[in-house]
Amino acid sequence: MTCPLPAENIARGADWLREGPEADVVVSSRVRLARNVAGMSFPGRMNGGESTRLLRLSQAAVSCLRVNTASVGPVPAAETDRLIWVSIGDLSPLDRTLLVERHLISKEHAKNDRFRAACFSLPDERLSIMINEEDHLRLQCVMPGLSLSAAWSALDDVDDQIESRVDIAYMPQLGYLTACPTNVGCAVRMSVMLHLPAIRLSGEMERVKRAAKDMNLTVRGFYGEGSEAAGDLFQISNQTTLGRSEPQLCEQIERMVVPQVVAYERRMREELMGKKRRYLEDQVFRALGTLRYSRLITPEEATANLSLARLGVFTGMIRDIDPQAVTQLILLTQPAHLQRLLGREMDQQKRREARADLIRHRLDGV
Amino acid sequence: MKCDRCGQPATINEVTIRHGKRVERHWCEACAAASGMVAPGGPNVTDLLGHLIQPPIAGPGGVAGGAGGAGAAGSGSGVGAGGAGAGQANIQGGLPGFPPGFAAGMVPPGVRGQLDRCPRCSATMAQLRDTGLLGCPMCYEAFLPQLLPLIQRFHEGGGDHRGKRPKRMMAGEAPAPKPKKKTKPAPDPEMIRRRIEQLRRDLAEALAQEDYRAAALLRDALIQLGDDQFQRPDRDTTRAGGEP
Repeated sequence: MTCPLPAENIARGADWLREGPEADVVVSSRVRLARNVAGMSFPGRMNGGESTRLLRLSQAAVSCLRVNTASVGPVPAAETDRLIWVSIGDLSPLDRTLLVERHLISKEHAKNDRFRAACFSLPDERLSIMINEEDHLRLQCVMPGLSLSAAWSALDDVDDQIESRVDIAYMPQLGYLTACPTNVGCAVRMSVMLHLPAIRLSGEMERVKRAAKDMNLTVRGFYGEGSEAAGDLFQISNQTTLGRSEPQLCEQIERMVVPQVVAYERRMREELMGKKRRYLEDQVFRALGTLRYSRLITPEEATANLSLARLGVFTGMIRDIDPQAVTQLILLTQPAHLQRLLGREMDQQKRREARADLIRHRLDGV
Repeated sequence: MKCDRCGQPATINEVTIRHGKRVERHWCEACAAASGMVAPGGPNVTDLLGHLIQPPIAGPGGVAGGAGGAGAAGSGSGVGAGGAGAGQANIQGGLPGFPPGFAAGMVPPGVRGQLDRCPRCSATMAQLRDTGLLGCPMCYEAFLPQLLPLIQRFHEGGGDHRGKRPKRMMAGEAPAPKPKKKTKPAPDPEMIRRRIEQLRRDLAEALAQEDYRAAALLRDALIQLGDDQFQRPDRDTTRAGGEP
């Protein structure tokens, strides 16, 4: 089975899970734009000819892209031979799940067999484009840590290049036109993924959600809409897209809301360390014991324990583990990653064994 | 928090503003999907539409179903769509039975909100209510009066768009690919050669199918890759408008 991604990408985890600004609490920042070509039906109403034409147009536009390496990060320029092109229809169910786990495509896109659905990505996967999802193009930039404005800047530049070559559907009053009328305007989703174990342990998560809601923001799980907050990972993102500019949305999330949540999480960690230290240590070291000694482990159990281990590392309780190893394991222990890492498809029982082995190997290997 | 419907743990909070009152509901993923909710965390689009959209009523001279009916433009009332076939007609050549404005992607203001179907893709407001999705960008112009209250309500009265604007406006403007300087050769010449061959095949295919928009982009890509078949043009004759 040919893997759609380079093997080294899978082995090292995801670039956006590396340590970035405010790494103890902020995992990553992501900006996603929806764009549609004027004069074409939206993907849900396309015929075969139109979807082929869109795919060709998108490939041509992407072939002309020049990525601003300064803003996206250390991506060698002109590596047109290493761009990752994936046709969703050619993928096995395992590889579709792999791309969903890596946040390169949505769950909906993974199920998309009707159209010429595709995905394009830079080699380091920070910049990717879904083609023929709910909208014609969904451009995405993900960066480690609290880097929302940098991600927006990089994606804005890519968007400009595409717009200079393709007629994009737009109305002055409503902004960018999208298949779902609730996405018009900037047609942007800006989200920051946060690791909030102390807020959750303190029973304060609902308060954070309510506060975010009052500011027209939503709080979602690790895999976005409708997903559980696995591993105490929560995404805070804008809900409304009309009436405010992209820099305003970015400013609100990056400068006003997230720093407050980060400060709150740190305060909760300090309180737990001060008033309930024994309780916190018990939670963290039980988790570490499970990770180090279990021989069978489910993805849910692994993620929950890795979250507590990450908390232990960043609060200084655990000193012999690289925080990177813990964070990347949250992704690498997902079912499709595990099977791709080991190069074979496995049933559930075998995956539990392999997951436990992988965790032990990666934690003890540091 | 538990799902209001089945009692399982809720992962989605739905907030609806109705008559100025905030109504909050909690859903698990399965119940949210079963309810047809399109935008978890926000108002139920299809639900909102159910309240906003009246069933189509055939007016004088109008065709409620629209299938096969050749609509007549002019007075602005009772315009029917020419069925699915007409809806897929070549937009550049104009749509049969519609004024020239349609050809440029503009629905004349006089008939906005009075159409049963989108003149381009034949989508109806009833389909939007069912799926939560529009058929094509022109649906916005065709159904603007019905859509505006929904959009404003979802965005909590956000007003007009204040964000980014495309540097080139879409309507009636041909793609204006800017000739680029030749790219530096990528590290692997063999990969570049294969890529050029692929792009040449795509270009030939695009030209054979008279898909000139894609052809222009493919030509640009070949120029960037340093394909010696293409000389850099001194002046881009396809450009319709100036670069800002």
